[in-house]
Amino acid sequence: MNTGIRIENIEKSFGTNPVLKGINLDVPSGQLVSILGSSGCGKTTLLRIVAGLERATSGHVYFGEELQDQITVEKRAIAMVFQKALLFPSMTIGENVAFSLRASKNPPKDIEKRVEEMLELVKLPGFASRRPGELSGGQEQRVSLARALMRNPKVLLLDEPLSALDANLRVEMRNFIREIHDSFEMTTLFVTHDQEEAMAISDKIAFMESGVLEQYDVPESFVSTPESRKVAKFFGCRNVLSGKIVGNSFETQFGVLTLDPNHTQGSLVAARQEDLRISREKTKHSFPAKVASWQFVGSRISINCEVPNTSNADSTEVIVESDRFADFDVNEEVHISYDPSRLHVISRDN
Amino acid sequence: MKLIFRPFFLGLFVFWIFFPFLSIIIWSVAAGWRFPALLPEEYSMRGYAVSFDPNGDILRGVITSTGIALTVGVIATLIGSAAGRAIAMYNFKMKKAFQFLVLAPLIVPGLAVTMGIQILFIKYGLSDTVRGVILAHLIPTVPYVVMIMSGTFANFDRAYEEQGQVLGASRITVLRKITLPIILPGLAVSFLFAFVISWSEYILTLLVGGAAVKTLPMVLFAFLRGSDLTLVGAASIVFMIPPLILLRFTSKHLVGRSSSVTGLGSV
Repeated sequence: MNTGIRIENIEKSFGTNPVLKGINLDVPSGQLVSILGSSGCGKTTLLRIVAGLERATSGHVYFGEELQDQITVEKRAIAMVFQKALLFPSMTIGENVAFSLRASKNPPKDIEKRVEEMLELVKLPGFASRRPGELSGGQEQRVSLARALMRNPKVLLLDEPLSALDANLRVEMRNFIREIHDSFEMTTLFVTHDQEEAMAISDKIAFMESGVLEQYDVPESFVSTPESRKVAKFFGCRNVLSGKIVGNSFETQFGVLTLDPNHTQGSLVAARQEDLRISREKTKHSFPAKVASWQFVGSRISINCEVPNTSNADSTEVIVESDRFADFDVNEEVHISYDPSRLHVISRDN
Repeated sequence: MKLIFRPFFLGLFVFWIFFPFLSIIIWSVAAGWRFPALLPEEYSMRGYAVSFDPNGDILRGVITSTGIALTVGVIATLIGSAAGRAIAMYNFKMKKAFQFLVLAPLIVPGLAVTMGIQILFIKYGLSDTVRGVILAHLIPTVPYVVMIMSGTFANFDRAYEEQGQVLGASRITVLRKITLPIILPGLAVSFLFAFVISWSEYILTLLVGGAAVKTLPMVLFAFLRGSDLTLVGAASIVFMIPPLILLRFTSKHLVGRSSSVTGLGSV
């Protein structure tokens, strides 16, 4: 069964304010794709258009080969979980989970059995007779997920379902969502602003910024081969150096870096701080620098270095992340070495 | 200190509320009660016998009033809920003007309004009819319902309805299974207000219904003019019963933590 989602040239404006500027996204059947972006980038609006809760100004949404534009929300083969669990307060947990079955035209006879099975699946067996207020946040969100799955959707839409939970629970729940996704035959769209969350559970990530799809790729690519400065920055790359490609090298303000022979074209190079090494000795690919400051970042040390420019009297800041045993003094002269194959040329300068 | 004074003030409060009723209750069973006597010299059930006479004006008035007040309660709650929802949850052109117009009947004296619409009512044949009276009673009742329901809807999370929709429920199912249970307290209180206002309405009924529509207040005023205080006492007790019964079933929504009827001042 093809449960893929195809989003074709979706545009959306609220009044004169464009929120989505022509989004094209092809989610293969059975995959879990995250729509990632900071708040206000239009990711939730896109999800609501896929759900049918919002109408696109132009463009089309397909599930499999089926055009969805004229199909109303309740008739789409979807189920959606929101940021808040939104358990209906007048119903018990069991009644909440059974909601889609009871709302359907031909309610099945074995509702109670199915509800219990579903509650077992989300690890809340025996909760059917409890009331929404008696559960913790994580439990409520699992009930909400169970209620959505009860509809047996082709497409599962998750709108930041974990952002209201505390950190430990979030990690547990995101793995749980991945497990659930794998055990059902469905395609999942997962909206989040948390890149770690997206990296951990997605087959692919669609990264959005200001209503534009910046990059759509497997999680690893966003770290290794970001396509734009924004993507590199969002995924934590702290050194985006500008310069000019000449043959196999990259001319920056502070000197020439050697590139991998298979490099792409562009005027920016991303050098991830954890891919750089700091040492007291020169190496084959290195440049001299001076330690400006350092601080602990988790269990590692982030070292701010100043690299004197060759073209002017200024210096360029380069950040190197090292393990916690690095022992350098401020103002110490050091060398920063790099691996040419780990330098990535960014094609788009935005 | 606290333990001593609380029952005292509570007693004072209860006395303050119920003392006026005492004289009505006594009058309703008094056969004769002249000035210097502290209590009536004779008692009789004549007042109640007349009140519950199947062919008497009072019982007929009770039936007419109940019918009108129930209908007004239902219609006002329906109209007022829709308007309250619009005010609380949506933005539209001329919203401020709409809010003002909806609430205007609370400020403009009902009498002034009725004098104006009476001509229209006569023209459309609504004068002296129950339909006309029901319509006129909507003027003072709808604004209260709008106020209560806009407060209720201001506390209502629209996302519940969307959650229902994305689970495959039609609009009707969403309204019935999700929205109604959540706004039920507001609806109950709205109905109570509309019922009680309609139930005790006199001027509007008099002007629109004339002598043809005899609600209980009309009958009561007639008796008051007849200065038969025994009858007035008994009829007054009868007059209080239906609102009290209704209050019994809606009071849990008026107070208490579960109440969603807050933010009356949001309009």
